Amino acid sequence: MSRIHRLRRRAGHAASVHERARSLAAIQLTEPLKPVDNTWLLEHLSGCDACRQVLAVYEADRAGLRRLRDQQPQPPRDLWARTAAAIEREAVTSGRAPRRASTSRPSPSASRRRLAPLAMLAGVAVVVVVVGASLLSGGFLNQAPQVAVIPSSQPPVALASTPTSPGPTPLAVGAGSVGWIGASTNGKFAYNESAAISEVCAVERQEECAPVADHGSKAVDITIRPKSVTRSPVRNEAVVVGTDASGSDAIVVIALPAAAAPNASPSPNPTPAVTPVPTPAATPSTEPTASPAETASTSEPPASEAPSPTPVATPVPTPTASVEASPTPVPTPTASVEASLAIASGVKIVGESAAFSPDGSWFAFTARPSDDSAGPDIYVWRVGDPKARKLTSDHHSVLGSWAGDRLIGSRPMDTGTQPAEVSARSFLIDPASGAETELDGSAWRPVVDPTGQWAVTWDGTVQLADGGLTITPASGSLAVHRYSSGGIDTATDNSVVTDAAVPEFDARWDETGTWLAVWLADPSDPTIGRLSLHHLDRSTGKIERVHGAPKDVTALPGFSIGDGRLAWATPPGQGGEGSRVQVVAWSNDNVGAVESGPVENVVVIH
Amino acid sequence: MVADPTLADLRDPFGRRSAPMVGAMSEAWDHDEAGAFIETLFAKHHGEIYAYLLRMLREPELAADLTQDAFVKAYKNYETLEKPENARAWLYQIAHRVALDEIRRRKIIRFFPWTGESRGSAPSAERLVMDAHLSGDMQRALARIPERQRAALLLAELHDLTGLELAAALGVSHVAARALLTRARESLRQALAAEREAEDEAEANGAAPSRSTGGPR
Repeated sequence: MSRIHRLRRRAGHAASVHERARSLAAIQLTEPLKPVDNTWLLEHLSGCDACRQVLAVYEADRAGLRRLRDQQPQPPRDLWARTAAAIEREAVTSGRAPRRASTSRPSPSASRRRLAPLAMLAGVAVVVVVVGASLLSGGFLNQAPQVAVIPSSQPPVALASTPTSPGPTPLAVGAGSVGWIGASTNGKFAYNESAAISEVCAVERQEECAPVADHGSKAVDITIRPKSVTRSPVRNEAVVVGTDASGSDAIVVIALPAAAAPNASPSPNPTPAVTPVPTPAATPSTEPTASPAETASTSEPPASEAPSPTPVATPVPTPTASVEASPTPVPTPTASVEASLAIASGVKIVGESAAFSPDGSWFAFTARPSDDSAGPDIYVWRVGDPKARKLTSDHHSVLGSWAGDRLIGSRPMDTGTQPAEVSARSFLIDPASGAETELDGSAWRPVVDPTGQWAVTWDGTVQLADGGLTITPASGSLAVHRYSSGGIDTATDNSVVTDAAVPEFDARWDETGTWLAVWLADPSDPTIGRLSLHHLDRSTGKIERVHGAPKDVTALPGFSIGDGRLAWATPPGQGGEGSRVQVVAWSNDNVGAVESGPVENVVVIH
Repeated sequence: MVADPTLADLRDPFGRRSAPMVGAMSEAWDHDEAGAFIETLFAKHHGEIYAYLLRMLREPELAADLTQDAFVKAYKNYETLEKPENARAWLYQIAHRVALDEIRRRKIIRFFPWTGESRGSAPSAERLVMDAHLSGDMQRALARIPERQRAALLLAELHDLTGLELAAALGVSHVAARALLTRARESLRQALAAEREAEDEAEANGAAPSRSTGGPR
């Protein structure tokens, strides 16, 4: 061996010795060394200042690293609800678990043995955890930090609906009222409307939270089973889409009972600790909150007294017009509606986009013949007219939304009876004349915000199926784009809500155009879906996920958003005893939730 | 059952493949049992899994999403867990794979200064300042080292995984996990030294201390 090689070998040997020492020094921080290695290391360190220094640094760095333990992040309190919902979807997708196996509220022990309670909790707990997230982080709108005060070691639990005393510490929110129609036990339908939601419940008192106070159920005389209810923005009436006794779709207009009287207003600067407990805490859920007489005496004048050309002026009596006393917990007061007006029959309603125009003078929807003889067209009904009429006749048009006093419709670029994936286009259409104006950009079913600046739309292709009868999103994404009367700028500013093809979606804006709620139908069962609330940065068009906002909440079709609250109905069985109306309400300072008692066949009025 | 591809090469602490994820066994497993088991696992471990993913990715919402993903994957691959007593390491293994997949998918590693609240009695102002300083250095240094080394350090020092558990979570042999951890300590030492050097230099120049966002070297 040459001298050079020997020198190199010595140098290499020296380096490997120090490397070995440092390696052992690192290892012995987490596990004991073999005696022989330990002896060797101690011997080496005694004669090597550099390696001793490295060991000291390792120890100091380790101590510094372990100090991060003090910063223990807490997960979002709705994490279990989200996870349970995702597991439920996974189970359904893989076809291994019943979607809604539970028909009764399981006991805690049962919930350990069944998957179904996961979904039940997902539906209810999200509402609960929103409250907690806000409480612990300083507010719904403040992009809460993730550090919580209360450790979350258990999944959230479903709420008890029976109030106990004392009531929950309320949070002032000042949200609008929520209305819904549901079946009472006598087989008739009852209209319910909460008073203005001024207070919601805090998470740590949620078990003591009473159901949201309705304003006294009122029987409504409708002969169809409601699937969707749309309230006029200017009159106390609603358009009900439902199915009649033969199973066919029908659309009727009903006059709603008088609006709820305002609830006790929260103090201007609410202090939860001293704010009075809302009335539900002292009102058992099985008792009416007011007698019919009391309701009548405190309510606003009925809508029928208002001078307007509503269908009430042309009553069409129905066989069920008489009001019967109800022996059920849902009271049946005398203030029922007087009549209903059928504006369309012999059609199948398509989609969830039916809506009143902003000024309340028109109602538009998509439908196709009930005999499946043709594809969908856009229909309009002018308030006061006896019937709705067809606005398009190509049998491939669907309603997107209203944009001011005109409608936005969409249709495929190519039509036919063979299954095909094609592009789509949208157009403005005058509800009176039917005159169309093409919109730039390839978009399907744009839903324009009330300010007319942004639209959420399917940006991609659509699938023609069932001989041209159905048109559903195919490839692309549901996204927010900038909107103008000239078109939809799908090239920029997009903020994707979902890129999964969904059989149906329902997107609605609040009155400020700042909050967007999107319901996505479940591909395996389009009668239910997932509802999420998004916040829009109006300057950029980016949607933001707000900490604590409902996300992928299992919901029935039909929800309402506005006046600082989002309301939806859970699928039956999620609480074990039928659907519940869930309400998340927020202000700049607070967010919380309330829910109704169980209701059968419930439809939230939007 | 379609196996989750991200878990297709799960290995035990000795580098062996875990139980096969296809076949009669996977078709026959009890989903009710799986749901209940995952629910229990969630109640017990979701906080630490979330913390690990947050420390790896530094984005709270992303960490929450990935925690959800991890438990869904655990549900889907329930039959790959051979021994319930290994569930914690198994869960960390899934979470680790989820984190690495996300990192690879995004091709970014973003570390932002993050200060959490200490539990227990309120620390002194001096302690807070010192901790913030140390944490800031530490966070940035962690961001500088390769993600697998970072994972090893986090799991060993902050999540108290034993040697075998660490190996299982990282999907490598015990020997390989130990070597990885050794390299991680050296990488952290050098990264912290670089951080402090940069700070010293910045202070010497009269500028604010550097706040590098970090990234893999």
